[in-house]
Amino acid sequence: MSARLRRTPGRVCALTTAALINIAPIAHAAEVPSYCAELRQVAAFALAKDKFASVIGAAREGNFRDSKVTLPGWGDCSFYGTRTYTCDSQGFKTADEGTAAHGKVFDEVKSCLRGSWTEVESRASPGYVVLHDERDSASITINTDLTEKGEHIVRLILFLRSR
Amino acid sequence: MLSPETSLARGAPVWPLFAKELREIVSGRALWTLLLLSCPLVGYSFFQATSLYGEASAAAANSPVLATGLSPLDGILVPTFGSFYVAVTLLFPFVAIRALGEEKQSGALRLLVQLPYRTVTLVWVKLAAVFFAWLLCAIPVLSSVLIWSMAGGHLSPAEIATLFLGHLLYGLLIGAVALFAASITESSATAAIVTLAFTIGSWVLDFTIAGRPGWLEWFAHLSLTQVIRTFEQGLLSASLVAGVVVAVCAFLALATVWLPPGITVRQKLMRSAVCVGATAVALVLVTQIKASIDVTEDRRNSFALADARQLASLAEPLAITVHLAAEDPRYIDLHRNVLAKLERVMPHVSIRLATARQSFASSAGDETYGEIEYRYGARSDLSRSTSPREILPLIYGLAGVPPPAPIPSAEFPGYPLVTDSVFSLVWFLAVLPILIVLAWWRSRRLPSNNQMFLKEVVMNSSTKTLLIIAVSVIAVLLPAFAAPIKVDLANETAGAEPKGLLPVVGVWRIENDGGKKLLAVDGRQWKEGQSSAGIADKARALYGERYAEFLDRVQTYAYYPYVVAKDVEDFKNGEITVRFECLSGRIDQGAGILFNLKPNGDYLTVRANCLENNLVLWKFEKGRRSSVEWVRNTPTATRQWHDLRVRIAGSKVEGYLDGKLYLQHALPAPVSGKIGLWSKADSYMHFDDFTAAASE
Repeated sequence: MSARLRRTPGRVCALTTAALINIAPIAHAAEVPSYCAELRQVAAFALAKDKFASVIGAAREGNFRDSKVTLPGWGDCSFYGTRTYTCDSQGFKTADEGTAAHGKVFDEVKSCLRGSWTEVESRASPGYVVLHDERDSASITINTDLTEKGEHIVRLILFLRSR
Repeated sequence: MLSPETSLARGAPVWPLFAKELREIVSGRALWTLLLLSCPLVGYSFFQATSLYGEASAAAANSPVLATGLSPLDGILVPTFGSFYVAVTLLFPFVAIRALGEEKQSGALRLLVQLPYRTVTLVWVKLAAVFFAWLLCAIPVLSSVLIWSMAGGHLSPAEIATLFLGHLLYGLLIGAVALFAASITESSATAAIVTLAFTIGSWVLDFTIAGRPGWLEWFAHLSLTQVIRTFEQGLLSASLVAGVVVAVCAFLALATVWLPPGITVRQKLMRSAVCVGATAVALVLVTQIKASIDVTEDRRNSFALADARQLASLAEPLAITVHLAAEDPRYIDLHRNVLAKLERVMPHVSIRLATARQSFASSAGDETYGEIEYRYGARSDLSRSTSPREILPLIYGLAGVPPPAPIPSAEFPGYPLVTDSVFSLVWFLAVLPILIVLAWWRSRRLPSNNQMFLKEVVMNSSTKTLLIIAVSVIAVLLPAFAAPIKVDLANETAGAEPKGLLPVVGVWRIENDGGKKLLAVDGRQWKEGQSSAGIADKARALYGERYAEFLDRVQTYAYYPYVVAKDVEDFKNGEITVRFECLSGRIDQGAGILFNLKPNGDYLTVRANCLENNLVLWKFEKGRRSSVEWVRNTPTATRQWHDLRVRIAGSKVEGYLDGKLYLQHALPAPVSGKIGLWSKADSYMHFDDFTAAASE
């Protein structure tokens, strides 16, 4: 077993602990979502030295890969390549429901990542918002989409900015 | 002091005379017969050419290397104009002879020469009428060019203009010969026999003695058909053009000498001798002109740019002695690939066939046979190669100069096209003949009176009808050359890569959507970093010798799928439009117009995104992407068709989505480069109606 692999469980534990510690001061707030700890964990991986290497799973079709970290309440959490993490919300029947869910998720994510991530209003459009981390090295986008089944969903994408 | 006759001649208007000559030609059956016979002749040749070209294009669908061998000049234009050449050779003499022969037979010529025109003016006006008749005869072949263009076929204005000039000069030469023949004979039938002796005699020269050694080779150059060969090869030779002009003038001068009655044959013979002598001197002088232009897009008549410059700088004479028979295929290869190009580019080249009196068959046993000696200054070397790859380094070695570093230049990409040419048969076998018959019928309803022309300075209706046909064809044809380039997907194969757009990065294919063929980019199956299949061939097809830099950049930074339009060499000003539909994509649903693509792989793109509802001008330099202009709030719904348009004027870029101007930006430098379509990540998109309209 390589040294890198031997270190991986410890690294995951450390980052998860750090994420839980960071979330503690705002855990009492009502708007903090149930997936906040996992989201902060993923955000922490994005800013760590090895990035997402320790939580990227098996290859899927095309450029997608499984993720070892999923956000509770979200579906199809996966990686696109090694630099982009994405999850889909549950489906909504109408565009209005999707738009409402989009606004709710945006508030939840802002609340969860308050202090370290900020909204970039100059990049926002209807149904599309952007947050940058403090160092501008990663972005989170939240957008709506229409699936092939005709369902309206909200999608969260967290990706590394610099190549 | 001017004589009364001279002053009168200078004051007489030429237009009525020209109108009369036109009437004379149009009222005869020869012109109409030629036009009617040209229709099936040209039509079938065009149909055959497009069919064969289509078969070759289908074979080259997935191979850019094969596609580079597909030139519309060779595949379409030369065969189609070839049938026109046959018609002109066999039938045009009868049209031209009528300009003079009828008057000689009817005795009207005696009246004509008493009118206040110089004989030379009469002859030149007749040639002008013959020229006009030739233009009318060219209607079928010009319409074939129009049909090819309308079918989406590529046309090079320089190539077609050169080919047209070659056939025009040939037509004028035939006309001049016909006028001369009519001037020396008493009947049109005899004049026709004399003229056909020239034209068909040229074929005999071509078939029997061309390629033979010795004086026969020189004699073969007198063939009239040789006039067209050079133009068909895409070479505009000043010497050849001047030579044909001299020959036309010579035949007209001879016609002027022999036309007036009342001059003794002895006097005519003496004047003719002077004409022939002057023509010979002029032709010798003309052969000294070396200037020529290679107008072909694939530069088939030239060496690579770096070699051409290096060779042009070699000041000392290069003497080449070839130990090959003139009819030997190796000599033909050597002449085409090396000697002809050397003669064009080097200031002092002399070529000698050491076996000039030797035939291919009689060369057996000669050990030196096949050797080619190159002598530059005091140094010489031998070679048996016919390839410039071996011969040019040999010449550089003799001259003591290093082989030049390649100069980047675009390589000819080839223009494959599979098209259904059945429509052309309908045009050539039904519509055009009917129009010609209608014009003929109108011409027969008009009174024909040779003496009326001085009172009539306007053209008759039949001439006008023909003019309308000609002008209509030309009017439609001319804009076709400047028409927007639209990538037509109708003839593409579903499931295959597009032919008109070269996929560089990503999975691009043609999809059938309810019977309509669309271009799809499918990022769902694509792995980031993978360039498209056969990228090396595609890079070579796009950038020729400089492809390595492009290929290296593409393979290093294959992060964003894109295709490049094959038929747009350098887009600087104008509009590029495309319709797109976002089908799916979790990470992205991006559709962009790519432009300013450089040989080093840098480019710009204006893209819309159905997930983000924004329009962004991105810059890609050395694989790094950075936003140049970002416009928010541009509604772009998924699973709906949208129009994306980029307008470029120098360094100014405008981006439109669904007809609305959203983006305006001034770049630091004017746009210049190839164009294409762009996408991103796992986007699964449909594209259609990709059009590029360049403007000045």
